[in-house]
Amino acid sequence: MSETSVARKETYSYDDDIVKMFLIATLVFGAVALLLGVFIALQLANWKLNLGLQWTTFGRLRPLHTNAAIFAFAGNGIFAGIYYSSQRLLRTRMYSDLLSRIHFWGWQAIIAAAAITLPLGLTVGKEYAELEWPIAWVINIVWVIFGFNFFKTLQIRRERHMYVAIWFYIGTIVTVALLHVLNTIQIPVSFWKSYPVYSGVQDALVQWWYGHNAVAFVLTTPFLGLMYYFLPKAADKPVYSYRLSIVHFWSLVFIYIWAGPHHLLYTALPDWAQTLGMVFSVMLIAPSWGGMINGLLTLRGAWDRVRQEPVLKFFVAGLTFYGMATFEGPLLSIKSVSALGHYTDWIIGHVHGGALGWNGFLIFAMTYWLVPKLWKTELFSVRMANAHFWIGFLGTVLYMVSMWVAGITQGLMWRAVDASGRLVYPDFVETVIKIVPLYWVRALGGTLYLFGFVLLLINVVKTVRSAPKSEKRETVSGLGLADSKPEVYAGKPHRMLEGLPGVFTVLSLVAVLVGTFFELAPTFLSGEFAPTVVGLKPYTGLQLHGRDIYVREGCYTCHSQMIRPLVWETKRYGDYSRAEESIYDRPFQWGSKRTGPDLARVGSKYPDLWHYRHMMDPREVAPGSIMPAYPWLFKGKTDFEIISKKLSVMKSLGVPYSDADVENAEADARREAQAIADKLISEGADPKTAEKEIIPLISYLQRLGQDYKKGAIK
Amino acid sequence: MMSRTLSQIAAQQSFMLWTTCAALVIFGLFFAAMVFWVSRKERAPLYEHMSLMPLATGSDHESSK
Repeated sequence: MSETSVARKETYSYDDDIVKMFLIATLVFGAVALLLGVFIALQLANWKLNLGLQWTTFGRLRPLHTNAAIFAFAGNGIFAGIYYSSQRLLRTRMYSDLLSRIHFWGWQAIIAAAAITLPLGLTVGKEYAELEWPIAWVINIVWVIFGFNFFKTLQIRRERHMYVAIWFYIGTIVTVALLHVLNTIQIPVSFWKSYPVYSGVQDALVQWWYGHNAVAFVLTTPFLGLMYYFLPKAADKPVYSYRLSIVHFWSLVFIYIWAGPHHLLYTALPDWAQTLGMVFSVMLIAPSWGGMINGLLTLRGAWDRVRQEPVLKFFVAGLTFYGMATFEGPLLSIKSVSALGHYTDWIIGHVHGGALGWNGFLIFAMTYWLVPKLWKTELFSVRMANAHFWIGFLGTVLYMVSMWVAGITQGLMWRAVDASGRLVYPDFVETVIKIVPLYWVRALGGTLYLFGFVLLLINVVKTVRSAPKSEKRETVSGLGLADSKPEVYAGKPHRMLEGLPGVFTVLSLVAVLVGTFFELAPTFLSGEFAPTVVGLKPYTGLQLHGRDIYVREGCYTCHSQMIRPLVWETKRYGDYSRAEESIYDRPFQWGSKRTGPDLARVGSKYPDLWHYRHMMDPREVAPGSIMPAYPWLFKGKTDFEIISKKLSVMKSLGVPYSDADVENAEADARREAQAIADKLISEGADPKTAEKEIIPLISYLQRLGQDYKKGAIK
Repeated sequence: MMSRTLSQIAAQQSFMLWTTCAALVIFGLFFAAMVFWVSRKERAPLYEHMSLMPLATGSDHESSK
């Protein structure tokens, strides 16, 4: 170091308070997410645990669980790790402490809003994008604040080179912004109700482009960034291959974005898009395993320490679960495997292998490593941390194995036909009863995982309490960017690129935009995906309102509306679903799981009274059913006044309603409701039924599949 | 023109193979170029230096210790 540069040394400190804040939030919301997970797992094992209350029903709590796990637990964990590692890798304090705190409190406010609105049934009805438009826009704003603070920090950094972890953070920030903004373009009907601008096939493609990449760019890329920083720190070894990390980053961000359609195999999505999704999903195994191998080999020469150190145990197991999940994902994306596994609990097992094993364990590793450093003390109990590892590991394995068995059992039972070609298990409920014992095993696995988490909480609290009381803010010193060694970059284009965050960001964005363009653009440019079908009428006002009740109650969390062109499906549910059948569906409700049967052609299959009784007490008409009862639909009054506004918004989105349809919507809906109620009353229903919410829901259910059955769709 | 081509791709299932192959070729070229780029021998010292970044100890990287 030259004398000149010594003279220019700058003194600065890191903002570790923001890291502590995010870490505490991670632990608090981790407990919430896991408690909710165990609770809804028990609800599936015993339907009585839905408690007969609308706010505690599975359909409303399941989105709360997924949002809490992904955005509250994993989200806060990511931010804690990013704030800690970025400051050190860039050798600077965050650009603005104020923006960091706005980010923190804004994010917690979003979580609080989700915790209130989702149990109230205020939802868009698209998985992992359920939050209604005011909250969605707050997410956009808070994310931009986070991104602005991050990029300004890049600008004031003292380290010219951006370590690979920073690349993953950049990829995450730009792609999540792109995904979230495009998927949440909605037209408000009221403050808490909106309709997506996309419909049917387009909505499905955009949603799963978003949904799968939420997994990619919230649960994968930022965690890989954290892995590339915290694992070498914990192992005290450099990353195995920096070269491999470059290949890992670029191939991962390039490929991941194409993989979304593997959630829609055998659906009404065009074949070319399905094939693209499948091929790129299979290819994903290469960069994913490249990253896993790079992580595991980082421990070369340190494997003896894995036995003693819980941090390394969590890292090793986390990476191994990552490897398993990223093998299973491409496997499930192969069409013939998807035919068996899709809509079953296998997918739930796959997702939780990643969430519990990869995301959870990585956060635990980071927490055990960070807490003693942040509070400048020793971990309270290494033994307790080791116990946490083994209990959590056992819980994860129980969860995954039970769901694999349940899923494959379901898949095989659904497709079983006898020698004469008839379904062996024609009654769907038979396939449900068979796997209920496995739901108990899953709940046990989740409970063990939660118990391990409680040990972590105790350990952290005890560690923090043992910390020295007076904390003196420590300062560090280093050269400014202008004084760092530019000669290192001479003639090294990629290193120069890594030193130019703006260019790097643009190239990352281009990498994800290539796949986005190829997949989404044809769908929007071609009228084939939103065809005008002569004779296909949009929903009546009452049916549309009933559909919104269906969405509100989260029916899509257990029922699909997509019959695949597979023999055993058409035998069970009727002819396969066509793209045209969904063209007025905002949001699309194809679903991703069949805890209950598909409903695409349920209309007119049963009389109104059957639905009435079924919603009152499912077991009255379907013995053995695990579906909750919906007694509040028989008490809550239908909001007829809003129906006209709903039609008006739909009309503005291109649905062929006439002005008269919009103007008379309320009166028409009341008339239609009265007609349905009169029939039900004559069969013994409550005389005040006409005004109750059960009527629009029945009206909607009876409409499903009618366009095809009545010949409006060929 | 571009719009029409994409519409045709979208509308005609027969383009499925073409689209998938085009996507694979794009990725294959991208991937091969990247592997070639990072594999050059003269980059080894740089990568070694980079891989040590998180481990850099002392005041510059570890204010918490």
